[in-house]
Amino acid sequence: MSPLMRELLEHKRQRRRELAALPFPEKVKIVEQMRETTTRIRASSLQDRKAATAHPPHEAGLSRKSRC
Amino acid sequence: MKLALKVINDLEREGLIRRYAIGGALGATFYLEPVSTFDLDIFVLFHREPLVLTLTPIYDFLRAHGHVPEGEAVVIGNWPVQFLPAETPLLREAVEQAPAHGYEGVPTRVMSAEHLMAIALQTGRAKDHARLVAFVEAGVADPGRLKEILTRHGLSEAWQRFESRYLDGA
Repeated sequence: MSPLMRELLEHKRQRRRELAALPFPEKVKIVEQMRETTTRIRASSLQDRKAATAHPPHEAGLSRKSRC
Repeated sequence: MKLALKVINDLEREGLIRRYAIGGALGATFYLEPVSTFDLDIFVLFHREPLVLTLTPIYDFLRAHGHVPEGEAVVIGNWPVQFLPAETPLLREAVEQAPAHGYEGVPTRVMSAEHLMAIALQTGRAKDHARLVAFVEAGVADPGRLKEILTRHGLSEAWQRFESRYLDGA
């Protein structure tokens, strides 16, 4: 393993130790933020899928052509 | 989460449950770095083991207080709370022996690191093994106490398999 990689992994370990040492209420706030972010990503990917189903790419292409 | 814990304490005060403890990913988060999760797992013990295990009285109480069920959980404040009966001897012991803690002034209990590890080993999914590795790396458990729990609940061989698969050479 290269010295750079070793250093990066050690930084990761250090960050995990710091996070683990936080008071429980602060850690719960981080979990809540992660949950909100995941929910937003899921909702947006669901919307993307719905939009793709409603307007398949080939149809979207045709409509662009017809506008020209 | 403060509101959720207050309401769960009300369940205990009202006698709907005898004792509870936080387990699962949030229990692990008490000892480790924050772990992503969608719900708060609450393991419960009842005053008497009913012939047919039902969570209906808990759900009725919560619904009457404006907390609505959503799938397998009940949303209290901004937290979906999943109530899980502590059915196995290991889960019962984990709830009985869970140490008391305070959460922003609200009393609660979180399962011990050693019990969370034993439960993860017994459950045995990939994410449970990952959590076990995190517990080992963090060095938060008392090895003697963990060994006692594993022996008492017939998990010593499972631990050896876990060690040889995930920890050898670590």
